[in-house]
Amino acid sequence: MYVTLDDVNKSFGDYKASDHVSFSIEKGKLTGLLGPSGSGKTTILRMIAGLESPDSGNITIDGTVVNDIPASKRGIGFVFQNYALFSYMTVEDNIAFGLSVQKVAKEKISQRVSELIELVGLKGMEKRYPSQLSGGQRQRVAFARAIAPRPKLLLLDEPFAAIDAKVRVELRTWLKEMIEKLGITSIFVTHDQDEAIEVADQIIILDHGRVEQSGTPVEIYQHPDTAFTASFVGNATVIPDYHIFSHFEDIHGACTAVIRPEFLHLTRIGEVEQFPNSSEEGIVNSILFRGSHMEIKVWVRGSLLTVNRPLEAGQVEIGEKVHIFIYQIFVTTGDKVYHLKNEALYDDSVVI
Amino acid sequence: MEQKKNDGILKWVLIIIAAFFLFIMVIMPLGMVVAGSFAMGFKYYIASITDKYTLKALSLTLRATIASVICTSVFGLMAAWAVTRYSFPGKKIIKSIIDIPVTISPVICGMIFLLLFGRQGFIYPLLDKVGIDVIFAVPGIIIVTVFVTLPMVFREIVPVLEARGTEEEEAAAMMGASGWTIFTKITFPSIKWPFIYGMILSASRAMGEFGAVSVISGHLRGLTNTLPLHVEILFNEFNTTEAFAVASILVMLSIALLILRLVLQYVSKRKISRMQKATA
Repeated sequence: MYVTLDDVNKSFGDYKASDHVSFSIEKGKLTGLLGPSGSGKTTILRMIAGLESPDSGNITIDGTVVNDIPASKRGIGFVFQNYALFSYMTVEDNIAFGLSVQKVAKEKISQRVSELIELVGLKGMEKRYPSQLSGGQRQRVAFARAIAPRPKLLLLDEPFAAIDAKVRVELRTWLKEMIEKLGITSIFVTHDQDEAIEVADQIIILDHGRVEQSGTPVEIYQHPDTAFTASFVGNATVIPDYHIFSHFEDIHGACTAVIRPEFLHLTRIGEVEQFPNSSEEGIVNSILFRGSHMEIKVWVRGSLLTVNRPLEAGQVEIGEKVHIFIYQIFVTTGDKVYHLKNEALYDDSVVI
Repeated sequence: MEQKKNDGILKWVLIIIAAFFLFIMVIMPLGMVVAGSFAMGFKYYIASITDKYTLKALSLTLRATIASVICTSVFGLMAAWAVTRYSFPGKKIIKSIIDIPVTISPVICGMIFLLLFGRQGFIYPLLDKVGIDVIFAVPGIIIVTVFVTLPMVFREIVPVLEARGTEEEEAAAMMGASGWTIFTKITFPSIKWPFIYGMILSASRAMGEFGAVSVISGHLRGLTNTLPLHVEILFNEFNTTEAFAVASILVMLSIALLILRLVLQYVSKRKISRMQKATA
């Protein structure tokens, strides 16, 4: 393991930013620390960087405990949330800063700088100041500046938060490609699950300073381990008591369930249904056009569920009575998540 | 159309009122100084401003000014750094206390130091033992002048440092830059112009300071007289022409600072616009 956190704790007054945090990151992987605001993800990143020091626990990078090594000696590249570009230096001088501080020979610096400017696609902008660049260009400069001294580890704090939505998606792909190309171990912090799922090789989910779950995006999405992960990832609706829906196994002591749009199927009255006997009745509450599909909110037994419907499946009306079939739900109790399938799916043969 | 015409009239009325006011309040008095100082001819003017006591007063004023500029710069930078880069209890109170020298009346500033260092003051026995005169002596003049100008640089650079935040410094530190490199390459360039502006403000305040200095100087001609005090003494002795001549030195110094300020403003503006010039 390349980076390891072992039982790391950090408090700011009463607020526990890191509560017995332990996780490991493989070399060459791109890891996302995902969590809502106040989950401690930025604090953990800053502790790895050496910008904060843990109250207890060890942080190991490449086999060395770095707790007592100052930030500047850890060989880490850091991309700040607002980039923190040096506003009184040109793009060129910004990228060169880390190397010139290390007293690298002038020719080597200028060679590395032009190589990086080429890499991030900012040719012709060497002499500009940060105030003359767009958000996306600034991020590219921040990235180039961070990797210029060839760090062993790259940390990015909310790398896309300061960029408008349109450019963000494009930059995500760009950054992922860049990091893959360079093969540099990277950790980024985000509160946006789409971003984490799309960009990261590994996701670590944090809440209230605790690690909730760690795994690949597919694992996190399909097999949530904890109640928090189940409700945080995906477009989840939390149902206070799942027993209102029949056809699901009764788990002793469990009530709360999480339902995602892809767990549901909506059919209009009169349309052919696969499981007519096991579906629930619902009333359409609102319809949102999402471009590729319709996002429909339906009242089902006192809960407002969200279901997606392809455009070509035909229009529904607000107030219309529809049938909703629930394929599966995540039932959560304490720290356990049960993945329940509708019993009708097992009884399929019997029904026919 | 009608609206535009009215605007035109209003514009000129306002300009004329402002210009008239400026003429009455600034240009005319300044003209009077110049006219007054040459009332007895050019030779007399030269003689007045090269008078032994005038030169002594000029030298004292310049020394006090230089001391003020140095103190406000060093103190301002350090205090501003402490206040904007660290958090500690009582920070807000300190920020308000620093403003006291410019908010209270200069005469009271002088009184404070008179009571502190004077014969009734508790520091006096100590100073007396060492043999240092503060009150009615040059050190006193310099101390009060430094006191009234102390917050000038601090007041100019704190808002800039606060607005900038600490991320750039943090980024530079992460890359292994030393404190000195961070200060000279990252922090100072952003506060350079407000810093210089604060120095100019403190210089003009120091040169013109009258109240505080008047209380503490004792008006010893040739010893503890600054230029403004010297002007007052000459004026009280009905040496009007000489008083005007000496005053004209102060006016020239002020104008020189004003020009310096304009030049710096022009240079900084050009530099900023060059930095922000949108290159299409």
